[in-house]
Amino acid sequence: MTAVTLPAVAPMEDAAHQTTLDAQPEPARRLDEESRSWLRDLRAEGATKDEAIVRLHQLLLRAARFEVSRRATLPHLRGSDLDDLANQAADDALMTLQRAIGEILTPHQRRVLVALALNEVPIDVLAESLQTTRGALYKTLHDARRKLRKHLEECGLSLDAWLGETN
Amino acid sequence: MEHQDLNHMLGRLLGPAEPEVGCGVCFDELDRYVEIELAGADADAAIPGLRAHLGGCPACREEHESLRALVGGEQAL
Repeated sequence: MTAVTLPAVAPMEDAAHQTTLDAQPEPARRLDEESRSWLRDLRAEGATKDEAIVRLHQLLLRAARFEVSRRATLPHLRGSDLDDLANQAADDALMTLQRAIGEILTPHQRRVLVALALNEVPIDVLAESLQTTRGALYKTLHDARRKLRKHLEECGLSLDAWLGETN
Repeated sequence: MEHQDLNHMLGRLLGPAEPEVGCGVCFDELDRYVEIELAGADADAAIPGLRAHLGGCPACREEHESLRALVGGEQAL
């Protein structure tokens, strides 16, 4: 294996993933002893480094196998779309919400909200197709949600008591 | 639509009611959060806003579940 420059992150962090996050400097907190020891070995030369890479590979492989077997047992999520929402027009809150989505959100907020919250598009997939980051998309989703909540409150409709029943 | 499905959809549309951190902070703090959780301490008090974010962001929630299952599984071995 050729020499690689390892980023100064803990071993379980994924360098590719890191680039999709909000523009932020490295975490300010101190690394724990185990992370420091990993970094020391991975930044070393010769046998120590080679041996550390092998150990890291084994660790990641174990993690991947574990995750694959865990996911095999998870139930598949069901999809839903805007038609479902339209079919529920009898409910005041829902109608208000539906109108608010159409009227008070910006086109970008609407697009992001509909994709993520209604069509259940994975956020990383949407980020890639819109050439943006997960952090930026979540910020848009968050702003859209705040707007809708504020609007519902102004209309005298708060859904939190209802939502709290199953959450 | 079932009440349950409607709740699920409204929850996704409106997100968490309380203040939350963004995906960047979540990524930086998630390992510490899981360690505190698995130690049985109050992770929500230690890292405010992260639990709320996990409630609103399915991608981060999935990473939390993965990491928690992995670290918890390793501890159990």
